[in-house]
Amino acid sequence: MTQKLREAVSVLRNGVGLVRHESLRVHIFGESAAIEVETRLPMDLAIREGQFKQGLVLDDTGCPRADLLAGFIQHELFVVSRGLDAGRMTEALGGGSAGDWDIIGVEGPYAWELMASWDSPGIIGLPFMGAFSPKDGIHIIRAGFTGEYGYLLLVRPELAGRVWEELCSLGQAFDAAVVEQAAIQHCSLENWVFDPERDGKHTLDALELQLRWRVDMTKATPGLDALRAHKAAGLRRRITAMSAPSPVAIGADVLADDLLIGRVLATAPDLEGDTHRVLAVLDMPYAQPGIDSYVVDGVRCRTQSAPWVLNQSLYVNPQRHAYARRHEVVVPEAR
Amino acid sequence: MNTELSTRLQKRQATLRMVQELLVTELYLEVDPEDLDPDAPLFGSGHGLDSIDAVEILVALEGKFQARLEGDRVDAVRHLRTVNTIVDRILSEQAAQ
Repeated sequence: MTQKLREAVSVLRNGVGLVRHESLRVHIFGESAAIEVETRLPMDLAIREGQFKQGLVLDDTGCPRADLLAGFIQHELFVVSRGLDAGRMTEALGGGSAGDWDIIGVEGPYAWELMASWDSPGIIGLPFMGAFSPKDGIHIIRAGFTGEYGYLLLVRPELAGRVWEELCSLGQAFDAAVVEQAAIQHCSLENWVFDPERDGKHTLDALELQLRWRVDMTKATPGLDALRAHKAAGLRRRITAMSAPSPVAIGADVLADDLLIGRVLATAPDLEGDTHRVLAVLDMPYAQPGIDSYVVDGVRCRTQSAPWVLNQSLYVNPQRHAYARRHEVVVPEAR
Repeated sequence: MNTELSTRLQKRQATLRMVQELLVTELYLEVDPEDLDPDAPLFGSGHGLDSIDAVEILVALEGKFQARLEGDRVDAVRHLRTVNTIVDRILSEQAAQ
């Protein structure tokens, strides 16, 4: 891990990180078109105005090809996605086109405090996956990719520069820093957040990726027949969190008593570099936390419950805490 | 698979299954127990439970496993994150008895 990445991850875990999300797409549909979109997505879109939901685009084998947030703002269906380019996303949704929006991410245990100073203290009451529109040309969704407090600002391009500058300026009071996608991706892995760039390139379906909760198995959209058949046949493998005392290679075999039981999908060091987070896919009998006898690259690893981090955001209460008094927040050791 | 590993995995799997069944039953969830992804977040995203459900879970777990998960809020937040973290806590309590 480079020093720059370490600093960015530390900012996201302890303060506020600001990011320009260049790879997110926004598609917008009117109410009548939303009915057509629902016939193409493996999720129930019966959600109220101002509420978003996490979903997936599946291929015919049930493997996720895109990660998405869908919800209604001012009676229009907004689909925010990553993993597919604009054209393929348009094809998956059956129409529409990628809207012209800049997307700014504000993430960290004190992201709410920066947002409150930028907009108003009322934003603190915005529930997870809630959305509202504070100004013309700006929509805010309380969502993120790091497991900390997070906000996605959908901003018209002509306003984006000013909004970005305002956030950076106000962020100085919270030691906010601009972070790159690599830092978001690192935190995403640590927090067990699905990343189509990382997880979607493997031939693992939504059940194997522990994303069953994101699909409505009663629907008839692409990929769900395959998932129903897979469930009926019984799951043979599942992604599992592991920790290694030294680096291991992506693609490395996972062994139990010299028997091949899985392989490494992704890995990243912790901030101190003492241990390495290892995302592996393991055969079902072995895909359980609390086992310390599996071997990867000649190193004994331990399976564990995900995620790898105990987020500071779980212990920061916007009603009581503030970045200026952050030392008052008690966060226990992760393990 | 050696006997010790097999025993540990079977105990873990049995406890996982009991917790999944308990959550589905006590919270009236309209899914099969095995559909509760063991590492998916229970609250917020993931399975979408709320603070009322958290209280129900604590009471049910204490009744079923004699496991006191709440401790203080700091502990409860940690132990109720996922089905697997609940299983961790139950097995840890059982090992300590």
